Amino acid sequence: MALATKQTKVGAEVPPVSKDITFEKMRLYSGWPEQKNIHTDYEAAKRAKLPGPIAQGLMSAAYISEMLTKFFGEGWMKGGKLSVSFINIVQPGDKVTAKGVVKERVTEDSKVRLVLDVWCENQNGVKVTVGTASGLVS
Amino acid sequence: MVELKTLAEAKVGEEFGPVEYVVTPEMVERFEKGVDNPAVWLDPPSNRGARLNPTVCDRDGSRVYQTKYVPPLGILHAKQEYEYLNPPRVGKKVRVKGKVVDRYVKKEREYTVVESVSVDEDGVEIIRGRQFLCYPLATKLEKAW
Repeated sequence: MALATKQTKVGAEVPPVSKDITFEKMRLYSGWPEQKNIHTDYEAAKRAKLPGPIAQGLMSAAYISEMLTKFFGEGWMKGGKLSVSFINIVQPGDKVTAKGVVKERVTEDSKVRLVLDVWCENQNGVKVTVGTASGLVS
Repeated sequence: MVELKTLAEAKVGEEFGPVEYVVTPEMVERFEKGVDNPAVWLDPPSNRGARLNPTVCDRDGSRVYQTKYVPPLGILHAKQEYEYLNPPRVGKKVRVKGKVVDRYVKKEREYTVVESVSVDEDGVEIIRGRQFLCYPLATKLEKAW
């Protein structure tokens, strides 16, 4: 059942979603062993001058999407919009938390679109992914 | 076997695909384990409800451009935009098309922007995406993998 309603106010916080990042999950998400790249392979990461394999940014996008699926329900799956920038790396051992705050309400036909600031931060409170999202409530 | 070029050589307006794949239970299961997020059920399973996760098709943009190009060394995913139109359903064939819509240089890095749209076998639009991929200048010939 969706948490967001037409009565949800600007400033409302979305219940966060936290994930422990492991190399195994990174490899599962990024298609190891067919895909040997900076997300799945130490040698590829080294060639790219990275400290080690890094999680795909889209994993953070998926965490935000999970959070917003719970918040909007069908209004996310049918009409959700997401725009995120990946600003810091995520590595195995990190804990990533997706968060969001409602910043605007827009009437769209008979529905209301809630626009949110969304982001993911690591265990040190450093933002790794930032952007905006919106979903429909009816 | 055709030698793939790096994405740094793609031209604005160039189209990719279509690429087709079936959303299998194994694919969804692997995805769920990767993002540590069990799928949701749109309807009760007892009512033949769809087991789905709205982000299963999130990587379709990469899936389609990588039919023609290899990511250049040092590539990073800088930004991503999505419009979730309908959740992908297990068992359905998905058809993905893509297009290079922009290229530019910013802060010593080159950006290629790829748009993609995924539609299932019934013509239902699943997701529209726009990915902003960046890499160091002068990496046209060295491939990431």
